[in-house]
Amino acid sequence: MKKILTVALAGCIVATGCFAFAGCSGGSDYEHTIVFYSSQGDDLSKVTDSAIKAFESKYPGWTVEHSQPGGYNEVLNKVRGDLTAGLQPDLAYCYADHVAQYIDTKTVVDMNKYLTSSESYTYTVGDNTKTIERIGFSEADKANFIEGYFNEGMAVNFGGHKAAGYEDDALLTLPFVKSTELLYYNPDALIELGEVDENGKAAPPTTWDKLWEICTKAKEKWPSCTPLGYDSDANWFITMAEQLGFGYTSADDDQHFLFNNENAAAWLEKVAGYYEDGYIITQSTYEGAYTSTLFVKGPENNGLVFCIGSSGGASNQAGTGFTTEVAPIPGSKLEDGTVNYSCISQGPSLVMLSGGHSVTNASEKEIMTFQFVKELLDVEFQAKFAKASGYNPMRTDVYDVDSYKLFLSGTDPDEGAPLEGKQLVVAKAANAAVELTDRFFVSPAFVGSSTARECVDTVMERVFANGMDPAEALRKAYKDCGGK
Amino acid sequence: MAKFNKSAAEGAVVGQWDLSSGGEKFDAEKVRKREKTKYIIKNVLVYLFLTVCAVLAFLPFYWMIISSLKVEEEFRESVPTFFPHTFQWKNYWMIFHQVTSESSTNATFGRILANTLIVGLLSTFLGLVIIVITAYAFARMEFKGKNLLFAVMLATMMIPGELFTASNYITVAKAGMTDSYVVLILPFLVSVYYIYLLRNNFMQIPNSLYQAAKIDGLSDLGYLIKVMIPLTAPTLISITLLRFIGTWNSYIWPRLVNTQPWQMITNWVTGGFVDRVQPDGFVLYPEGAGSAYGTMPLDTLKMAAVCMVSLPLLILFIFCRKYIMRGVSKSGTKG
Amino acid sequence: MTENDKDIIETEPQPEAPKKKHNRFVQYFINLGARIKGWFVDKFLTVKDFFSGLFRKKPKDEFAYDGPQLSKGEKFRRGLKAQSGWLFVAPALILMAVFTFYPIVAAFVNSFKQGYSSTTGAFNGWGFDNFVRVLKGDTGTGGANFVQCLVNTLILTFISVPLSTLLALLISVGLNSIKRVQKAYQTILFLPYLTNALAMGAVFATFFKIIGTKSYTETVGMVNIVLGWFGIDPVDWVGATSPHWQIGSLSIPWAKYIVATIYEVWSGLPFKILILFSAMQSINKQYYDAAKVDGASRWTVLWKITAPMIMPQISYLLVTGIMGGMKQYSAIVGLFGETMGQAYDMGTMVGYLYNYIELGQMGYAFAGSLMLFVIIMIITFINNKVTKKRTTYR
Repeated sequence: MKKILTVALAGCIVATGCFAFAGCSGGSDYEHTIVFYSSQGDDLSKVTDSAIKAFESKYPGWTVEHSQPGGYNEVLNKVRGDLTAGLQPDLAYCYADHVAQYIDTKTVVDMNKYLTSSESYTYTVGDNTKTIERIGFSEADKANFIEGYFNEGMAVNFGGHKAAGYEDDALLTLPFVKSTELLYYNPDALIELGEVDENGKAAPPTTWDKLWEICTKAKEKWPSCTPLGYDSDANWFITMAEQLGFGYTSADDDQHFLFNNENAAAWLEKVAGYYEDGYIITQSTYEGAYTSTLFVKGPENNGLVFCIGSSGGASNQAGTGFTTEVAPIPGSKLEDGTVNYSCISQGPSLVMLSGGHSVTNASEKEIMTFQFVKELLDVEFQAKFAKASGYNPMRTDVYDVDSYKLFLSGTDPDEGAPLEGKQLVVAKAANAAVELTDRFFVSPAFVGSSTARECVDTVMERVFANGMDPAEALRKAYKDCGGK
Repeated sequence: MAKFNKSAAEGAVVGQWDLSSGGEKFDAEKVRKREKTKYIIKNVLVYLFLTVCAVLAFLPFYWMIISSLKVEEEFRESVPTFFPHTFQWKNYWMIFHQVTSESSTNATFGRILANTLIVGLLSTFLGLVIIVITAYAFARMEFKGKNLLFAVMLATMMIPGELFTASNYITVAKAGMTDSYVVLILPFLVSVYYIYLLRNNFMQIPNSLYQAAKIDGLSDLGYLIKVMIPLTAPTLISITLLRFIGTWNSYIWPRLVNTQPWQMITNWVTGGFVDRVQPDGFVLYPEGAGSAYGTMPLDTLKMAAVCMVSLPLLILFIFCRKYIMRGVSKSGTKG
Repeated sequence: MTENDKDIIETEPQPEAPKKKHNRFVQYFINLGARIKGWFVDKFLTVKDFFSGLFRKKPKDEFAYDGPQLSKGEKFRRGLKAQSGWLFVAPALILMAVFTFYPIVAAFVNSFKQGYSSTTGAFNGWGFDNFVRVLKGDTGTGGANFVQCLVNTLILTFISVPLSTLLALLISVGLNSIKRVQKAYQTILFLPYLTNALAMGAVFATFFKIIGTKSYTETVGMVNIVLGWFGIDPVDWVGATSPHWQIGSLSIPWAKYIVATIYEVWSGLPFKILILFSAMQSINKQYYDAAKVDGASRWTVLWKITAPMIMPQISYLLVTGIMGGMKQYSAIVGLFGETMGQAYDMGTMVGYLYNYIELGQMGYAFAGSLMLFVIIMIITFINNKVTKKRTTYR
């Protein structure tokens, strides 16, 4: 009996041991495997699989290993840890301020040298020899890229790029897909409140003043509702800083943080009053949950009338008792009578890192990784991805792709039936976002730009939830960022 | 608590009165009766106090279990119910098919549980081997510098383990060990306290036994396995259990060094659990195309997850109460 | 080893007298060669002996006197065997060298590196910059504030530890005085010991949580309902709008302190009860019998006999409790989430370290961990003084 027990135990341990070590040995041939980290969920990674398949069949002998460590922060932490060990991926999702943390390792690839390179390249992997006609994008391709998205990746926007050996015009990141913020509204509620245009359709507010007016009405009609939900506290502050011109951050190394000023405090004071009256809910005051959860219920069920959220999260905004409509976010009327409609541009970019796993063919791998980037920025793939995610594509010709056109017009391109529910809201959001390209702004990236974001997020939370004096909250945040 | 203090205070007053009344006329019957009522009242108060404490100690467990079986709507009722109206066993089904926290990577409960069990078993077993042989060397063997080494090892116990975390993180990152089981096992194999505990245990075994074994031709290793381990089995079992519990509860290290698919059950439980629409369209609270609660983390689901983490510990406790309590009273640590 | 070598050289056989006399130079090399050869022969014999000794069947009586005829190999084998303890401690030693000893050195060294980057190992100069910035809260990362974390940790520890020890004492006295179902009470009261702080923290949070929006409250949570019976208005105990006092730049989130203290007491009780109760059980019954004969009241017995007898346990509990309290972290995450309240206002010292490790700001993490170390050392020192006093008093 005792022997059997011992044998069983030993067997058990050996088995777990085998499992453990089988689990951790990747055994990849890193010389010819492109490692790609993203924060895509299961649904989106299935879409990306099609780009991977296209790449692998086009370039036999090469494979792509796509892994998803988690959200953006997990990707950042993973890449940072990998850089320490020299195991960096070849390609990764990034926000600009992540790259600000990578550049001192000098592994970030300047993509300018490949972007429009007309050179050809021939590789041999085993029995496969293949010539790539043109490493870079064709001029025609490049003409379709939305120029505004590219500025973000310029080395000049990254603090310390000179020390790491990058020229000002080096291209450190490439835009992948972009999102902006949109006003999702409940048309039934607006009609009930009498906010209609000449056709009797619901008329969403185009300025903040108008929006607050409607909020007052809504609050009178449904006392237990919260008229406005804003999903991201920080985005609200940053957008208003742009619209009202009170300043948020700058790329200037001597004075990064501009938000600690009277105009910002005045605006905070105003919205804090609205919060006190129960007009507003934000993610931080809703226990970290997306306010779309409340929006979909409708105001009569203690929900919202308006919800401002990312165009990438459109599928969560599909109302349950009504059909969600989408509009651009309101603008701010300035003293000179003009209205500033600026809205934020966000979304993942791609960064290429060189020399991971100390491969001997680093430059060849860079070229091949760029070929994979080309697949990701391919017009058909961008259309597919934009459709599935609700993000905006980074090139204009996607809007000429038939399936995407159909989708935008509200028809399911695969089945030909009219879209409904979530898909319909995604299409509406994409439509609304198309119009906004000239309203986009990006805030500069530097080491500490994500800190600034977190700090203003806390400002909003403190002012709303704790009733802290706005000037005091701003001062505190300014100090937390490292401003003097 | 207040009640108990009062009863004790009363006792004191009565006691004093008793002493001072020594000179009065002695009425045995009366005194006995008074003593008896005093005894009963005192006992009732003590039992009451203990019962209140026991209920409060148990309440969170009860609340956790019933909440995990409630429908979210019932959980949110303005007056909480103490027994679910309807049992929502599907809560558990949902969390098993839930992916970790907000982002949807493919780390399901099964994977996380496997991680925890593999790491727990390996780390416990290997750790035990190291503890035993090291403790044996310190207890039974003579070698140069033994006492100095032992003193140095004991001295490290004074240093908070948190001091090591940052360096160890850099070490394992540099070695490229992140996202593996090894990184979860290796840094925690040596536990100086258990070595110390076991060494003391070993030293209590009389020397004559060693001499006798030597005469029987047993080698050091043979003596260790055939004599010492059986004799110290209770301590070893305690150490095994506490180490396993320690691994089960580990949270920060896995979070630092590993991404979600390689993390442990405690990392899993800290995430938010939402009513996610399943691939086959199943959803707990259907409304329109999605869930009535959208992306809001639900407390009932969270409680179901909490049960999955806590109940194994409770069951382990019920079955191994003796060893765990012995180990605890000796070490005062949770592994 | 060196001794061994010397031994060999001394007993080296004299080379035979040469037939032909070489000049000094050549002679030197011949001698040298002979010596080297002799040395190798000797070593070979030693090794041969050593291995043959290994495989030779062990004599029954190890302790028999082998006498001076021990071969060199046997001697060496014995010498090595005497050091074979190192072989046994080697795994532990290697692991500790990597994961314990090295980190201590590294923490000391790296905390003085200014602007230390863990990815490249680069830094710009040595100095106390990290410490100054950590203390001033001037890390520029939006992370936790050290002073806030320190104050939180100290307040929570020095409230919850005495409170739970006192309560444990009362419960143990109660347990000790009853005769029936003692075991059952003991078991139930011990249940909270074996819990996962993050999981049970989440359970406690649900007791205190208000669900709903500012305009519409779904439920105010169990604790608020109970407080409502006494006419107390609902308080947001754990959420974003939780009340707090502001002292300068320091925030005192008192509502969250109460929640954390309740949790700490609940989870700290079992161990304390276990220790105190078993200490009481082991007090010699004779003392009580003697007290009974003297007619001492229960209260007198408690203060004059029980309390002094368990004083070592009480001070042990206070010491370990304070040590544990200084390192609390996971319960706070369980109760208040991963940002430890609103922008780390419930941060603890350990939480501070992890926060900066996660931010990749290793310099601050090292500086913070060294300060935690120093603070714990100070508390250990004070504890030792106080405990000594108490024991002598007793």
